[in-house]
Amino acid sequence: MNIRKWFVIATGLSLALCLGTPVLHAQAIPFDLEIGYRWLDVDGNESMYRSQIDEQSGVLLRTFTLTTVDFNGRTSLVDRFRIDGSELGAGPLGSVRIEAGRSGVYDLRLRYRTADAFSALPAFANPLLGAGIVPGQHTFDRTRTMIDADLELRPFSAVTPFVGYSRNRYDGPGQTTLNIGQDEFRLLSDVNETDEEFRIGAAFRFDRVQGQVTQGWRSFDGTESLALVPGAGGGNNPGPVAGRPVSADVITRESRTDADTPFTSMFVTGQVTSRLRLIGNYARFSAEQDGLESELASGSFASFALGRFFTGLSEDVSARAKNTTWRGGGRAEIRLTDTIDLLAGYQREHRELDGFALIHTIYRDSITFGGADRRDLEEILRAESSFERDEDVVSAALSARAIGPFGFRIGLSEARQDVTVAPDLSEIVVPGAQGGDFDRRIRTFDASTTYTRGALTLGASLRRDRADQPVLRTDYLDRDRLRFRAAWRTPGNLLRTGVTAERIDQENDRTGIGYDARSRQLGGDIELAPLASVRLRGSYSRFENDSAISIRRPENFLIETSIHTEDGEAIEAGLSLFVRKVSLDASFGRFENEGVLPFEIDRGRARLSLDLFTSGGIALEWSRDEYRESALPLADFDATRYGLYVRWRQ
Amino acid sequence: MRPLIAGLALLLFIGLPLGPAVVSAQEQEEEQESVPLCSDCHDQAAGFAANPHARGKAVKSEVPNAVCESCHGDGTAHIEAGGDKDLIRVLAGRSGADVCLGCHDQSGEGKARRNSIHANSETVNCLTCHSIHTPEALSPHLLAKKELTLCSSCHGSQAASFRNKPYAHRIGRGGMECSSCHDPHGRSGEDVLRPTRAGDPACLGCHTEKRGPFVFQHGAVAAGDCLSCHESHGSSNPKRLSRATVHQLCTECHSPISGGTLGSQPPSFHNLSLARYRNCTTCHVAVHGSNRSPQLLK
Repeated sequence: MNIRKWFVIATGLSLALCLGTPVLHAQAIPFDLEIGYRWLDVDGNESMYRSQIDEQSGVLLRTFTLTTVDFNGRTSLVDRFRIDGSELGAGPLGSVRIEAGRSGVYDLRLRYRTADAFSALPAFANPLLGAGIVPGQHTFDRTRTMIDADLELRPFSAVTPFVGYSRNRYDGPGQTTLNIGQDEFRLLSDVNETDEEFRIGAAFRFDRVQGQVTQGWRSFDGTESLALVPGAGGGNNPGPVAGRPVSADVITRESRTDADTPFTSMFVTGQVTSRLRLIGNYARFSAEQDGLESELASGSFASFALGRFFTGLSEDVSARAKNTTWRGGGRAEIRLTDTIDLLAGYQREHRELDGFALIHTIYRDSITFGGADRRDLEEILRAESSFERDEDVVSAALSARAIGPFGFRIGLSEARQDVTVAPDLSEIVVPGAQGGDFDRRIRTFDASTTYTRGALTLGASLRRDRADQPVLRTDYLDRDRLRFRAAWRTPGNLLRTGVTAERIDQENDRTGIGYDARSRQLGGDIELAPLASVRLRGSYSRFENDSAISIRRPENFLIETSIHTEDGEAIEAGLSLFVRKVSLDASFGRFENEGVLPFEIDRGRARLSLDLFTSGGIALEWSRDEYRESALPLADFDATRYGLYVRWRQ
Repeated sequence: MRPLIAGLALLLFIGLPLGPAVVSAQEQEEEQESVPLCSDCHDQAAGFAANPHARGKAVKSEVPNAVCESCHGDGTAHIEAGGDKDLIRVLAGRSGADVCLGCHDQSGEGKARRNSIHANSETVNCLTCHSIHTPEALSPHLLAKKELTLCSSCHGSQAASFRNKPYAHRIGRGGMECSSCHDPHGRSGEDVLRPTRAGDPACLGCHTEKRGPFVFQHGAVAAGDCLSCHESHGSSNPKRLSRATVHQLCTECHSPISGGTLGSQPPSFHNLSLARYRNCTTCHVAVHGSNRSPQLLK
């Protein structure tokens, strides 16, 4: 039985115990439960629906909450207990959170999360879209399950020891492609990956000094099994290569990856005087990953790189990579007055990676394109790669939180990045720009202000970044960001309204790059409550993202401009009604994008709740999503969900 | 390990209702009976027993006045005056938040919360987001509303991208919230992101399989970060990429026209006029990094 089922059983048992409590005791423990069934009806591209929304038919525990102090004095194990569950069952996301504790003894936090990961997009990684074949060749239908458990022991006044455990499991089937010679073949994939972390440490507090030390051990264990999709031996290339048909009879690949990562993190805070606080922090982790892989293929293949045909392939890979990262810094917080603070800090981060791989490949029964020199061809690649990155950040800020109705903050910082990339020779196909030393310095000025008078609040912030060099071509040299927010409400909240605006400009005008990007966002919302039982709301927002950068086409070396645009507009409206035992919440939203990927989305939601008796009732839900891509109608879908839920409150 | 954890969880739940009753606070009860309780007049106080601020002090679900007085000040005069509102401290705005900071002015890394990006100003302070007496039922940390609703009251465009755009993290539907990645008490800049316990970027807290390290690391990951290619909130583009098509995203870095930047030139057989080469990831499947293919082909 896997841990997911154990967790569900444990939750169910606690639920049953809690539900039994009101019967046994005079004072009920408050809880809130909503459970029911959801039906799904999809017209159009169901894979696209699942890739975007993925709410399925099935039993759904919408919400469950229970909070109690000590179960009516029947236990001394806890003086605080809380369990929250949401969206468990038909997915795609669900979680349970349990918090329990006893003052001066312990704090326990447990968290379970599950997330369905589905992707089967029609146009992504799909060279056969022009032939009407959908979805693309890279799809997956997997589940991620995460568990966190943390226990703090609090019997001591100065030291709080703690232990923790986390687990992240990702598994399920998928489909991918494998390139052999001059063709790609579709493979079925089965992924099983588990990441676990144990941690132990202590928080301490001695007079004016306090801090925390954590030592952790993280391990990753992943396997992936791949096999040729039945009937997909023809590959993506329909014609012969160098006059010979290319096909695969068998392809299998097994890979296993293990990684161990011990880590240490700590911070210490010293309250030197009533107005000066010093903080130091340090974190280090050292990840070491080992990979083993074997691959077998048979059929008829061609390789331009080898200049040969071959009928089979076997490959064994042994790989090791090590990443050591540490980060440390110090910070001073000086309280100049009760509302004005001066902050200064320095942070340094160092990352280095060394990789080694031994790749042994045998091309079976190979012959030249001319049909001569038949033999097995053996290739042994011993690859070594390395990478190093240092980043130093010096910063200072002045924060004036309240000068009358105003608040101000002004900050300056300088970040220096030093990146050294040393690729293995096997990584270099076209020499140049694949490795080297890169230095980049970014100076940042940011300022923000807020103003509050009565029911009016205003806020504005400005950030200017100036860099001397890019590392990647899409790195900016100049970037300016301006944000503005205003909100106002009438007494009694009859009317609330707000507007937000954001503008970002970034560019790198160097010859051969010519990067120019801008983003504009403007939004406003209004909420009207003419009666205590009626609430109307509406919002409008629009955004524009434009970017342009010079690129060079690989096939003819012509330089052209790569242009990306998004021009979107969203309108949303909603109504909430509360009349005695009936409440209604309904909303509608439309989102249009007229950029390079034009689409429209209409979303409707409605929920009707009826209190049939004092502590219970039912809820009916309806939701509909309509997705339209004007350039690719086969991506369209209409999805309607209906839900019927029973509610029980204590 | 699995049965051990599950067993501990079961033992805890089974043990809860079977444990011995608490009767050790008899003296405290007697003392409470001699003076009026805040809960005699204030319904909020009656339901405060489960509040974290009453931890270890509530007796049989009754909250002693000292719990209320720790924030609202001495209530003796208020009680004697029959509930005069001027004789009790009411927490509101920045001055009210100062009371919170009397105990809570330190974040997980020892930084002062009063200097966070959500500073303790009149406009944004503790009580803007937290409601001590009437928190949202399903939200932790005594939040006033559901987290997405709360954050969207100022960060409307970010929240709208979750709601409206087709490819978005499923925020607010169980399991993931804004604070899964962001530290609302952090400083401006990088501090507002919540790294993993080991110090990795926030994205790798869930997407552990992308963490590596890999022998053949993609330069965009090594020299940049996840946001070199992806949009973190919601996106109009598949896979939350920052461009609508894959080849456009790749060629914007892999076009070393003037040199001096990281990103190699694709060989000339990559004919972008053909569908096969416009879909770079059909062959370069291991775009985040590989242990076995120098060209990230597997």
